[in-house]
Amino acid sequence: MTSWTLPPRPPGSPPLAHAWQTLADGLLTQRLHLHLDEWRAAVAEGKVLPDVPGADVSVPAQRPSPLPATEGSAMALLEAAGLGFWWELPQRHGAESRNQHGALHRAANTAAQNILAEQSGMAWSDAVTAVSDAAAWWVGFFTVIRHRGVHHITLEPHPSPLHEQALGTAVSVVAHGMATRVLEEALRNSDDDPDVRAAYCRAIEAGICVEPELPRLIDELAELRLVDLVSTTARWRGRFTKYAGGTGAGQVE
Amino acid sequence: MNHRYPFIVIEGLDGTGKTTLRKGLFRLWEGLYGVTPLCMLTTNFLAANQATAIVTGKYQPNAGNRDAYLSAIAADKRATLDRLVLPQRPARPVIADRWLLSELAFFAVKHDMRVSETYEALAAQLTAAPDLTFVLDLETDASMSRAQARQGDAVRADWDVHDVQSRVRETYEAVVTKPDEFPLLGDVVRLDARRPRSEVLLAAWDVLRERQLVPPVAARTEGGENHG
Repeated sequence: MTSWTLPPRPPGSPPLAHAWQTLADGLLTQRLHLHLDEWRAAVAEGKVLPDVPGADVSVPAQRPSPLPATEGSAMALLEAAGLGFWWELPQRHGAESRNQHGALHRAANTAAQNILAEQSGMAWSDAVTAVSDAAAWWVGFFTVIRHRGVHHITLEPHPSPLHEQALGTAVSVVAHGMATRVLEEALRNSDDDPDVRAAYCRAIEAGICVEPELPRLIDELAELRLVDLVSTTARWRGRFTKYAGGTGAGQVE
Repeated sequence: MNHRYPFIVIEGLDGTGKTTLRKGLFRLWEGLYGVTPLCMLTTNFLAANQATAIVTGKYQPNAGNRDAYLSAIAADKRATLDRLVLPQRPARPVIADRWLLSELAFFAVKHDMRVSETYEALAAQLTAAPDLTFVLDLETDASMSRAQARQGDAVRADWDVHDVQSRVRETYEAVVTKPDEFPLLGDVVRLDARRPRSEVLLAAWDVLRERQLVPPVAARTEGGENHG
């Protein structure tokens, strides 16, 4: 028999990773508002992106689908997970939906389905779907203005062109990361639901499987804002290197 | 009250998913429970004067270096307990990728030593047992197929061959069916590694919950580790 107990939590010492996640979330919000006019102008022109061959600007700009009937509780879960902004800003600023689904949306949908394994209709499953849809929008947002950004290491302008396939991978990675946050919040309320625990394990497995690909993906994305979006959302060893060295702000936003 | 986190060991043939389970448990603890585990290996080279004996005994095993190797890994495990496991357990879980069971199998297969003999030699040095030893169980053919599909240099020509791996598995089987004879393994739980890896993680998590080796999730927001 076990003759010991788990240690009590020390008061007043929240994990530093939580603070870094909060900073990373704030940086996304800041960047969206800093570049909203620029993004709108690019979307209004409705052209193919100069640095992503074959990518139509208008498709990823569409706002994600609204939350289904469980909206109230799914939204409450998103808020509790600190992801209200992640869902609301695309709804507020996204272009009117024309029900066109591009590669980014398909990647988000696949990522959500892999985690949910046909579970639907619960607040947590709707929230996973919602953050995954939003992942396609956020990746699309920074893709539209990517050609005006800088390389994430050199801070030199004009990052090299990239393939649309890399953007699909980026969406998948971001969707998995955000879904993981949703499921953790759902489990903090109760870890008794076996479906939520199974979905959480699938999200963890997906994160482990994709981790070896992340350095190559980041190399290809190259541009600072896209790189920050992916690297601070995915659960991997490099998640908070942006902050761990005492930097993380004041460079190029 | 002795407050501490668990010491968890993951064992299994090459290719059964030990690394994936270790990473999964790491992410589970860090993500859901807000505590970053310490992950370590079966030998950690903390007894520097034993390093040569460890490398020689592991990669060029023969009758002449057997006892020196056994003594060296016992010293290394003792140092690992004293310098890593025991100091860290009040602050975080410790997860070891292999520990005692693998050593018993190595000496049984490479030196035809009885597991009880190897166990006694190691037990003389070890001051603490893991709370739990997970054994990932998978048919030898399947585990070898998985191991050979991996990248890197993890596959060894003198070890990752069918007859050796089959004997290792037989040793595992012989030991885990007699847990009372090997108390320094802690509680031994076999996990079916044929399942998808997310299901293996879920099964391991279930075991931790049943044995109250994870904190209640409701306490999570009250605080946790300072990663700084």
